[in-house]
Amino acid sequence: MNEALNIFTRGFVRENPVTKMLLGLCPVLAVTTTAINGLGMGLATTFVLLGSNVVIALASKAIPSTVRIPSFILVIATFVTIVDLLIQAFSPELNQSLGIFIPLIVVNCMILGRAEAFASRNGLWYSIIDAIGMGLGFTFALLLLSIFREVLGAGTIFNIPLVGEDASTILVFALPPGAFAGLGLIIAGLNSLEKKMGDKK
Amino acid sequence: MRPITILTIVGILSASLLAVVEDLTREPIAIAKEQMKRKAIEQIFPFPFDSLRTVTTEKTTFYEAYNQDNTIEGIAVETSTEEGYSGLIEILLGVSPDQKILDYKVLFHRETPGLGDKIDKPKFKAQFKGRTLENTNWKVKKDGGDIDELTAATISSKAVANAVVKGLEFIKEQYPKSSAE
Repeated sequence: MNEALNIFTRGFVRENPVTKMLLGLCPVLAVTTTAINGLGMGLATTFVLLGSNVVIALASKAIPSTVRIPSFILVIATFVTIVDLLIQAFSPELNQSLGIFIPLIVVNCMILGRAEAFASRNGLWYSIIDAIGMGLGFTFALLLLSIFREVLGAGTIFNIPLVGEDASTILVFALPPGAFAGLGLIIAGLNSLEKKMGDKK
Repeated sequence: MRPITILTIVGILSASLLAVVEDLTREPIAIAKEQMKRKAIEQIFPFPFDSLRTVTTEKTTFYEAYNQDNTIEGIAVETSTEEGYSGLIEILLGVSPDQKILDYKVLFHRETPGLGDKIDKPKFKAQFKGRTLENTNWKVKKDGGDIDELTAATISSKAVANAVVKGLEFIKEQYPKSSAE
């Protein structure tokens, strides 16, 4: 059980895909304009990660190393297509705002990275924990960044207005440069927080 | 087993799974799309309507809203322009039977958040109400027309005006009789 907790916190904190490994940054920077987008993208990615980790943990022994990567990509692409279809069917609004970035989960290097580095070498149970830890870590980072950008850039949170319609907001945070700046600030903030907590021990 | 066999098996399994999922979601996706459209149409007509008839032509799609007595209450038309600040803007334009604008809704755009995306805000849209092809100079105020452009988003504003004009022309072509004098 300790090992499971260890794997979970590694994904969520110590090797957080966004704030520590800086993996899969394309969707992180692109879709985090609103909190709902960030949350939707994070959960969709978590689902794909969970699916691919489970299948790969179960099937990796049967897959020869020469066709390992193409097989992994096929598995990942299958889950991405499933997520894409499900979102189109049951959350058309989210589909409209995330658009092309859902199919692009296929090329999120974090997912292939976990398949290759973890799921293909570990059992089913630990692979599930790893996917949940990494996936929620990814979601958490996206949510932080998107709330930060939505509040400052649009003056709303989860589409609920915080200021009047005519109030001027800090537009740059809604635009791509704000994504880079926001991500930098969040990583710096989390690192300094971690350092402070480390010092106390 | 040879690698090629394994890869083929993986491919077949993936394809079969996707076929099943596609089959299960085909109907919900069609329904969701229909509902999105219906919702958009409900938003641009200020009155409840009883039934909706879709007319598809080579150029675009029209939606006729009928009340209980089967009289036409409003027409919605899909129109678009490529002249937005970031290209394509798609608009659903609603007019009354005498071809005065009721409202419109932006269905798709990639305009700058915070500037150009105000083309979908009530404040900007309000000025289009009641306008027709004839009673309006469809240029922006900067160019001597009637349309109040958005600050720092003149291109987006012009693009919307162009798309709206295009929509009005589609309607005039399709419904020549009911045109306002």
